[in-house]
Amino acid sequence: MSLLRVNNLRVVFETPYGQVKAVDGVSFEIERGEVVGLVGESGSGKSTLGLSIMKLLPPNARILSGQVIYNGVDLLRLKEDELRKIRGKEISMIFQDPMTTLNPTMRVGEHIAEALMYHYNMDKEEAWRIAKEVLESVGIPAERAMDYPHQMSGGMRQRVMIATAIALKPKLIIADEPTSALDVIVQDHILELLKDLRDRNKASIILITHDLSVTADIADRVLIMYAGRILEVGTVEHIYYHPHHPYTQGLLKSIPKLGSKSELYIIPGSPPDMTNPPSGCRFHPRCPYARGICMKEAPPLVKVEKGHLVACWLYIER
Amino acid sequence: MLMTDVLRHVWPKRRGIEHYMLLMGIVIVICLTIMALLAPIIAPYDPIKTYVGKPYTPPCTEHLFGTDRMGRDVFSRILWGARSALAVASLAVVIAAAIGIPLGLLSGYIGGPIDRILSLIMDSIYAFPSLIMALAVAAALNPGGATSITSAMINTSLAISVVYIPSYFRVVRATVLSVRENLYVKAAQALGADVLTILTKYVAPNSLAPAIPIISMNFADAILTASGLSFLGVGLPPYFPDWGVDLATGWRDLPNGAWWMSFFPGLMIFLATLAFMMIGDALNELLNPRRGMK
Amino acid sequence: MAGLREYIIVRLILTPAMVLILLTVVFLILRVLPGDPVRASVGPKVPEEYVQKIRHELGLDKPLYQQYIDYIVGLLHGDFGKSLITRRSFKEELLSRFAASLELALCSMLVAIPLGLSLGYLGATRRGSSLDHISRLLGVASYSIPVFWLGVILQLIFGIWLGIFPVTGGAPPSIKFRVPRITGMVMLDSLLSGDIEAFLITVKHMVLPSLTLGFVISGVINKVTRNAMLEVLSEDYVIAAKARGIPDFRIKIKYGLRNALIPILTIAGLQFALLMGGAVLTESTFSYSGLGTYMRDAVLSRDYTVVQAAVTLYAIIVAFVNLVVDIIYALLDPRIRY
Repeated sequence: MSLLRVNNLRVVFETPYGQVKAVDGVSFEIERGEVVGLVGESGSGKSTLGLSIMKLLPPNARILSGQVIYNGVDLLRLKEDELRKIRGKEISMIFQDPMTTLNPTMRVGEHIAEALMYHYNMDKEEAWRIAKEVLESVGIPAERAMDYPHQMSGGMRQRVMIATAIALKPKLIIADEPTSALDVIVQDHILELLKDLRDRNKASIILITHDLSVTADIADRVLIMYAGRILEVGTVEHIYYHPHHPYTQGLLKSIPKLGSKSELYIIPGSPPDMTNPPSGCRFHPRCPYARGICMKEAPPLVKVEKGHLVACWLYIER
Repeated sequence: MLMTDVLRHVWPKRRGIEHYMLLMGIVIVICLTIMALLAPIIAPYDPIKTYVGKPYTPPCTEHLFGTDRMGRDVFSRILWGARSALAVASLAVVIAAAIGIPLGLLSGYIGGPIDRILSLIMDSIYAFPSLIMALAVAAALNPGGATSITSAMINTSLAISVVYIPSYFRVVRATVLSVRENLYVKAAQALGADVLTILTKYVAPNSLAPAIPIISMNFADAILTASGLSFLGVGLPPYFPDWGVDLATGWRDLPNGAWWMSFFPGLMIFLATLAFMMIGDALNELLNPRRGMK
Repeated sequence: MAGLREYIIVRLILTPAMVLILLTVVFLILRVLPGDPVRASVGPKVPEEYVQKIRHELGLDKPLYQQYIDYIVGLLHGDFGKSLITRRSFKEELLSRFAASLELALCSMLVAIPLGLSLGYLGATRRGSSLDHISRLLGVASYSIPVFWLGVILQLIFGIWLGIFPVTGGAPPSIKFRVPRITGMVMLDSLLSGDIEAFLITVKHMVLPSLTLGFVISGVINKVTRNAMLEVLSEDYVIAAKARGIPDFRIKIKYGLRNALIPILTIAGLQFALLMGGAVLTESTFSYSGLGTYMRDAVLSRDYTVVQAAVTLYAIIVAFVNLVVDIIYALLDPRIRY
């Protein structure tokens, strides 16, 4: 049994300008100890997908259908206080912007200590002791535990965020753009830390990112998302060396390569208006291979080889 | 932005409580305006004439809101009272805007020590209790002792307007500070346009929008303050049909149980203030892009 | 970002500047505007020589700038000048009235803060519920309601119809004479001197005015609390805390209210001015012998020196409260503190 299985999840946002179909029938699964990269442009619904797994969606979001099965339990059916026992302890989350995800009026150590106290009924002293240990394990000296967030740099705060996410040894960590708000050098440190985490704690990680290259040396598998749907799923090798979907091919071509003289490729067109998404295959207005059927009907995800799925009419015999 | 876009923004398909507050406020204001305009026609009695009914008559069919100690019809006085309330408040708001907006434009545009001193003065007045400032100015202008109703009303408006000048000054100045950095302003400066032209043609049109909700809020506050001054006896003269004046007279007769004399004028002040407050509040929410997104 | 010490020093310099500006504005308005205050105070029938004599006695025949300097110098020595009407010093009366007003303000805050905070908190944490709508309606009503009208209604219901509370506010004269003056606030003084009966009688007289003024002020606190809480509860760190499985009540208090307190305090502190303005009307409605009624009487009798002294005192209170709020603000926000 896989650790987490998402079945046909559909999430919409109610906005003043109409309904936005943020996640439109997404299914996938994650095995224990596996790292999955979830790649898509901003607005593709990847962050919404991450938040719906923990049922942390904003009030104007509605889950229309689907299941999020963690260890055999559908999280979407759980009550708030049952979910609370899972959040942080079983599944935790690392957010994009470390400048805004720490409570400005709380010492950084307390972010970790309070979680320990609530989940394990630990006393204050012990919770703080462990909090300091966890901070040290992500490279923050124990004495900085008494700092307030504003006294730390962005990279240090992201380390604190990671510490809060691993303190309870969760089995699944959802990392939503954990490096995009940071400098390039700090980005590498954070990625190293995540790799270390995967090896040490045997935790599964969902790495949500807009940058396909970030997933290259950490992910086992990659999911390509576009306009609320999954277009391609495969191992890193599949996606990097045998990309099938025209969108994935475009994404790969638009990664800058060292030493390359050719001009950087840009996928033509612009991301779809999600209040009124294109019919059929969501990518067809930007696709160089679009045909009649692409505008009428959405292609199903079909297997092209073992562990490699693509949703594109190019690969479906009709 | 096109007018239709503005409308769609202010009145979209999905509406929150703000939209209904705005609508309700506008409806009340329209009713008040009609009352004020048509008071001579719809008022059943002369508001100043005494003994049109028996003194202290409770609300009944002849006197909807009862009569006061001099037998004057409370309902007729309330209809006429809408006139003085709206007149005094509009005058006060116009005076305050007429002084505060140009000062804010100029001060924000020029900058430097003049701007700093003006800002400090305006901030000080802004932080001071508006009613007490109005009371002090009223002490100097003495509207209660004015020889005519018109001058009493003008003096009351002046006393109130002083305290609203800073609201316009502050909000306009703050916007000018960002507007003046725009390229079209820089371009006009480079072309050698004089200060007056730059201010009126380029800066002002782009700096005045934030003042709109303030106008409505000030209207509400002006009605409250004007009636407060009249209640304290330093506003309009005692015989004049005005909600604040009537409330004060009614208050003195409260121990006699004549509740209607003070209840209805107070209710009117409340409704009028509420209406303008709701409009200002709703506009504030709806025109504030950060709020609108949420 | 300035350090806390510099921040407080700047505030300490700005505070007297603000008082001085307000003084000057009122001085100019009262002295420069047409009309002769002395003539106005004695009436038209008094012969001119007599008026001249009074002017000389009060120093009003000097040039304006000299009067201004004299006034400021006097204030620095704690001298508010002499009343135009009684031509005597009125400092004693002014300060005892001020103490009474302060007592009313503090009692109203005891009503306003719990009411406003809890309504705003409940509204924000149960957004969209009927409780939220009620809280918002009460909020809008409270800052649109004429404070004197609310006072009149409460007097009518509780004073005249039910007869539970007296319609006049503040300690009755008999109590004032009985209780030794320590702070000038009768409730406090009666407690300090152990006179429980006097305390209870005074409390009874304070209930209606405090409720009236407290309700009006609660609206602002309610609104600010609701907005600040909504803003804070939509912050990323709240979602992050939920993702860590932190219990709801802890998030609402430690993440929500704790961070919301910073804007609540600043804005609510600025609304202290509203409290003072409302106090004038409340005092008037309940025939409460405070600074507000004192100033009203001075305006009505054209006693400009008293008007000016009252404004000065109000300016000092407002500036002082602003200063205190700024300092508390700095203490609450660790980003300013270090």
